[in-house]
Amino acid sequence: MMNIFRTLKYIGNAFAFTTLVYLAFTFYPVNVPLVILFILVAYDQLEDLLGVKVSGLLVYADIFYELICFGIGAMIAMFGYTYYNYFYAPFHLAIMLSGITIMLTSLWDIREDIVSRSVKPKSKSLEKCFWVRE
Amino acid sequence: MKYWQRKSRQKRENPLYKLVFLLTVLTLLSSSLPLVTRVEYTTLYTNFPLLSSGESVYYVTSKVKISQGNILKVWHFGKIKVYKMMLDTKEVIEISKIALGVFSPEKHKISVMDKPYTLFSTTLTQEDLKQYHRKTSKYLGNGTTVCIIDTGIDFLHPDFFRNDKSVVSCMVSMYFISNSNTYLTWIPEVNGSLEDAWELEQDIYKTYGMYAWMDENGHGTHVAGIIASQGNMGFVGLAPGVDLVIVKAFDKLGVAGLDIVLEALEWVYNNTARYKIRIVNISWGSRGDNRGIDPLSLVIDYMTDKLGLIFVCAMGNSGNVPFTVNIPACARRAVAVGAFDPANRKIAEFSSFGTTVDLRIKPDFVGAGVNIISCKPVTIRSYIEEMYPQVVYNNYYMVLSGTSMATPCVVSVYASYIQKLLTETNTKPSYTTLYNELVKNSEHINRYYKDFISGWGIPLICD
Repeated sequence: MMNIFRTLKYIGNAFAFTTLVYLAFTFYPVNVPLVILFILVAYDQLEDLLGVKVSGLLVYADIFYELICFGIGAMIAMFGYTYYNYFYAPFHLAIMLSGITIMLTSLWDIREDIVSRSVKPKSKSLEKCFWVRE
Repeated sequence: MKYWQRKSRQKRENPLYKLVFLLTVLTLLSSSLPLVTRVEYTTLYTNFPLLSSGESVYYVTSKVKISQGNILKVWHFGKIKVYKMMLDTKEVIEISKIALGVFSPEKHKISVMDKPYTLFSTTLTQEDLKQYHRKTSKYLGNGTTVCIIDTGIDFLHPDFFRNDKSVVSCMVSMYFISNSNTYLTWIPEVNGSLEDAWELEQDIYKTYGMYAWMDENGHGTHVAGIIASQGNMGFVGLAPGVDLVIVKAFDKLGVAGLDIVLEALEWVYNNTARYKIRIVNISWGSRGDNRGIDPLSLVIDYMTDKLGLIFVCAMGNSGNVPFTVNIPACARRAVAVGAFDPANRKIAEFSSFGTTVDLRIKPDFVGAGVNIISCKPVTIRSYIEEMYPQVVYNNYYMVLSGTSMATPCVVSVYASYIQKLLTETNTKPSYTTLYNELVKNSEHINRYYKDFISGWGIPLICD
């Protein structure tokens, strides 16, 4: 069951990555800081696709990062919804869905981060080190 | 165990992910390229001001007195002053540290925003227009003075007479200076009838080849008609109870420089109390960096806070492209107005979209702006009439489209709410109170939030 969700998540990651790069292209001449944020969030999607995981205190940074992704995802979802509300084009619906996907995947990643910090270490020797993901 | 041999890693080696990823990247590459061409329509995000080599003209808006540099002209707005200066690159960088905004006028030409439409599509009458903005006719904007900075007005048009008295309480021309070194002004109650004004106009025209207050373009009369037409010839305006103060700042072609527009705003600043101006209609603008730090936007923000004026500005007719908010609609305190087509209830194809480049949501509202019938100059043949004869509806009216036409609709709604709140509370409603009242009584196209296409939606005239 989990595998189905995970598969769906990866499809979502790929979809979101596409949209983010697309939006970065579009917004490049208008608002450079926003483009940087898009690229950052796109990297997050790529990170998930490549299976990169963080451990130790970096997990806290990752949670913060995912929260930013959640915000940007909400913004993209609103952007897509606004357009869809007026023009009813499937393209705008896709952008809206992609925003929702970014929000959901970032929530998923936050959950994984929290779980990884909550797991107790197997041996006492590890207690001295940073906790690691199971 | 090697990294790629781990069980967790192996789990993700599903070819499906790779296929999806590859397909999406290919889609991206094929679909994003045409979108990049849209770049040319968007506002360039540059480091403000645009620096040019050597000395050139800049407009510096500042609260601090500026003494260095070659000052060409100064406009005074209370604590804020706008300096027109010759500056080199080094001076620009120095002054940028103390000024509110430094603006390069290169590539900035301000023009009125209308778009002549032909009559072969649905013809909309102002009776139809009322359905979208007016619930009842109880509040007509009585006692409110609206200032229209535009191409002037045909003050002899029969629709601008209320019980044989003109709705125009003052006309001022930014193109002529009287003997007393003030802008040429005509106040019907002081200087005499409007027929006398027309006689003077003819003398001025013979000497200078240009009228002082008469609308040679047609845009200003059309805008004034949407607000204050009395319906003597057929079509009633949306707030026929208002009084008008007409500031002519635009020429026959509907174009004005930044200097003359600043002079018009300076006149409004100095005469707001005298003529009890409450709302200013700005149906013009210019493309440019819309971060709201150009002199017009800064001055509008200041005047709104200081004098309690409400500036209602047209968003622009740059098409349905994001980030095309015009100056000065991008000002933080300006009420930016986009246009919708009341015939099919869709956003007009020419209406600019927000946000500003610093991601502030504009427009604030949308107004009816497609195929709007309103007054045309009857005393002289206007430029629009000459260029686009198809827009003429009859001897007294013509049909125009644009965010220019949507702006007076929202001005009328403001006028009706000012009258209502004055009647109910007997106090002068503030900018925020009025704005909230309009938001509350708008027909929200987007039910959930203020968006960058229609803002809070279509404001309705109060019950």
